Amino acid sequence: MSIAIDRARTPGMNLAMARKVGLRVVQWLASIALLVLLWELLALTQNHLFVTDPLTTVKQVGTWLANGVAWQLTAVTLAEAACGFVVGSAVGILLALVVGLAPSIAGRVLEPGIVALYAAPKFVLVPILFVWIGNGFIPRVVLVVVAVAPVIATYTLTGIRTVDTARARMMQGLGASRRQMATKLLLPHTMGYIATGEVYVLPHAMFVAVGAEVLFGISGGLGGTIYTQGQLFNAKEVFAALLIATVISAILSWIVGRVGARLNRSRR
Amino acid sequence: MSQTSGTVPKPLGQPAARGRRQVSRKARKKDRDLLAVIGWRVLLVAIFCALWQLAPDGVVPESAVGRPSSVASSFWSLLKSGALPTALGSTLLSVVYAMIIGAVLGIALGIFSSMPVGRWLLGPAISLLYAIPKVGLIAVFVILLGVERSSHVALVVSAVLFVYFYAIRQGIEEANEDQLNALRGMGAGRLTVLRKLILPSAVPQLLGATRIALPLALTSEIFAELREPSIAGLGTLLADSSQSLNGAAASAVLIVTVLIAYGLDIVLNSRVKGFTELTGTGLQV
Repeated sequence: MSIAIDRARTPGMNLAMARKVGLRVVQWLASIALLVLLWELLALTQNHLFVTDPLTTVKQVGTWLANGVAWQLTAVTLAEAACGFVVGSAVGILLALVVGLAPSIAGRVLEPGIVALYAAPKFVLVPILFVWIGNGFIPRVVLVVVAVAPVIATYTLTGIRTVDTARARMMQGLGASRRQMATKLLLPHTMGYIATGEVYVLPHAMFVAVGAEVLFGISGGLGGTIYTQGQLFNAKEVFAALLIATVISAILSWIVGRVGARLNRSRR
Repeated sequence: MSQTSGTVPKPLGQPAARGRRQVSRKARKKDRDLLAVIGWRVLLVAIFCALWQLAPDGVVPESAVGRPSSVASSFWSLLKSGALPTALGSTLLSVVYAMIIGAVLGIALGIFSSMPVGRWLLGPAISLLYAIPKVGLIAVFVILLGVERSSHVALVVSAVLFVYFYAIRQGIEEANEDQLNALRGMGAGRLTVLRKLILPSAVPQLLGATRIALPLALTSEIFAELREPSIAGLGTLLADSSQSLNGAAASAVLIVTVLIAYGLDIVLNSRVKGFTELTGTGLQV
């Protein structure tokens, strides 16, 4: 770390870095301009009931930011994603512990359940949940939980299964207790995998929350706004909600990229 | 030789060579284990079905999920009437179309973006497009492409494309530098390098991408069918059953969908070894 700082202080390096950053900013601006142009073209060729242009959309987001609607919508969606994320992680870790640490036969009996849950398209649950518990907050969170848990379980299981057997045997040979094995070897090793899983599943939780809102057809939340305003042909509101969701998603992806890279580095 | 080999320490975790008798006993034990595993699985499913069958209607309403007995009979009647096979075929057709288009587009874009011009043009643009929650786009696709299969396919393509894009990018980055230089030194053109080195060495990444993309494609297709039930599919059948409060039929379709997804994943998984190596391509739609 200190080396990096020292290097950055030398004037030549500073200039090169500034140039690099400047180039990236230009590149990003060019890309955004390209996308906005394409969007503008799309809006020009389509009926304005269905597609709005970028400027109107940004103005709508501005209005929502000013009157607080933006925060309300985002809060609803993020609350679902966060609740589902926390509960789903707990369920996933628990599942993996049961499958991974139980005697080998129990693990083999239960493991296909996790795989099936991982592979299954989660949205099939929506019509059934709708009839069963309605379209409130709980069924949407259930959907996020069902999406998050198998991913976390798979990562945790990978962690448990990749514990260094040689080291484990050495610890056993030196007389380590089960508790010591768990806290000194298994936990630190598996934590890395769990953290990686959590990081990668974070945007996924957000996506499932938005999708659940669209399918349940509620009136709040970003997905709910996309759906209900779409039914009313209010393209302005639809695109504004979509833009907010995209920005949040981009921020989450950025965090994922940063933390994920750091985790990968620390594991090596 | 034979004397010294006895003193070489065996690597840990690898069983020492054993006599034939012991090996066969081990194989027999494995067989017994497999039987026990299958037995336990059957038992667990049976217990689950019994609880489901006997649960009071107030807790597990018949109209939402049916009962195992009625689910079985609905499954049979859906199968006989041809509704289920048609729906399954239709859903899988959309998924196959979208997987092919998505893979080709994603790989092409990935290769283009690894060139200087492409990197300049596409890098940030792709990350921005990747961030759009695709579930919000279904209405836009329906406007552009009409109430048809193509709008479903477009939604699924918009989801799986990025998985292949990031996979091929990773493959290109990890291609062997020395081989690349050697090929170039011997005068290989860009196309030859691509065909001889980049694509073959990216096969593991692309297989891994397929294992991520396929569940994603199914999820997106089911989503599209639930939101825009324009063509018959598993999602449409499920939504119709649920709306007419026919929980048994809904559960039958749900179980079939999950089993199909599971079966496809198993087939793919037998070709892809690790799971952790695939995570770089993300999971988001």
